[in-house]
Amino acid sequence: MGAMKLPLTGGCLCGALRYEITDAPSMAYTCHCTDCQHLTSSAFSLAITVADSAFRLVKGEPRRLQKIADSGRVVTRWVCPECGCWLTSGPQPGARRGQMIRRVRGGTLDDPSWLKPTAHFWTRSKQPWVTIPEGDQVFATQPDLDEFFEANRAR
Amino acid sequence: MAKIAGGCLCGAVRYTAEADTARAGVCHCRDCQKSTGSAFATVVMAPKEGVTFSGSLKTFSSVGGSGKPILRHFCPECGSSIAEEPGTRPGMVILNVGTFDDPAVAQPAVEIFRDHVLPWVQISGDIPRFAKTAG
Repeated sequence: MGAMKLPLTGGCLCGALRYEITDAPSMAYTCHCTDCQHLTSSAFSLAITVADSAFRLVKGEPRRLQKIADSGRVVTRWVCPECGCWLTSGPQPGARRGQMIRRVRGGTLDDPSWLKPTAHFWTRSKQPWVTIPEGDQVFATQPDLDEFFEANRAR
Repeated sequence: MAKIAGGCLCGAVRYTAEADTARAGVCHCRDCQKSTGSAFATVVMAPKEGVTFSGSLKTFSSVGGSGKPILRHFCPECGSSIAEEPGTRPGMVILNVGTFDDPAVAQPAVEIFRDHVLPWVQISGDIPRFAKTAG
């Protein structure tokens, strides 16, 4: 596994959107919910949580797509208008007052080789051939995400 | 061959196809990681004549690892990546399993481009696994 090097850089498949991240992510996780399977068209989504202030779009203009999640919250996704690639969520409130975070799609990093998720959500709908690494935190659905991320950020 | 129905997350694009769902492939190449935003793509090949789309798709064309063009079709409304047409396999459509109405019907039968696998990913089953493409 490679080492994480800041700033992290990444972008969509066609290169129209590029970003950089200047602080280490607080958390990496997978989500096996059926929405994430549809959106990624893979078996699960892979995300890193970063402070919004540490994220900068350095090239391009995304489409901002909104959806009401099962939780009732409006979720915004930044998607490349040219290749459809889902890069990141929009900025959203974190657990602490005034804190803004965003969730960036791990596979869009130029180098995801250092990235190791430690929590796995919605394994109730996980594909049976995906094996979760031993010792990781596993949730049949999802915990309160704000509380969960806050509790897991101190490392 | 099994009948498959699927579509994007928002429902603007729907499709039906006939494919061998017991022969799904898991691809760990960088393009699949970027395109999915996840760790790998899960795909099933289907003969083009058996695939029917409804709704508008947007297409992104690039050159694949083979040096031949690959067309990537996605929903312009929600961004879900639905299918690819590889220049290496004329007449075939690659369907992305996550967009199946029931993705559990697909069973991985091969892993490719493991030279880019993320080390924590474990695909179970006694299946062939290749650093690049099969053969």
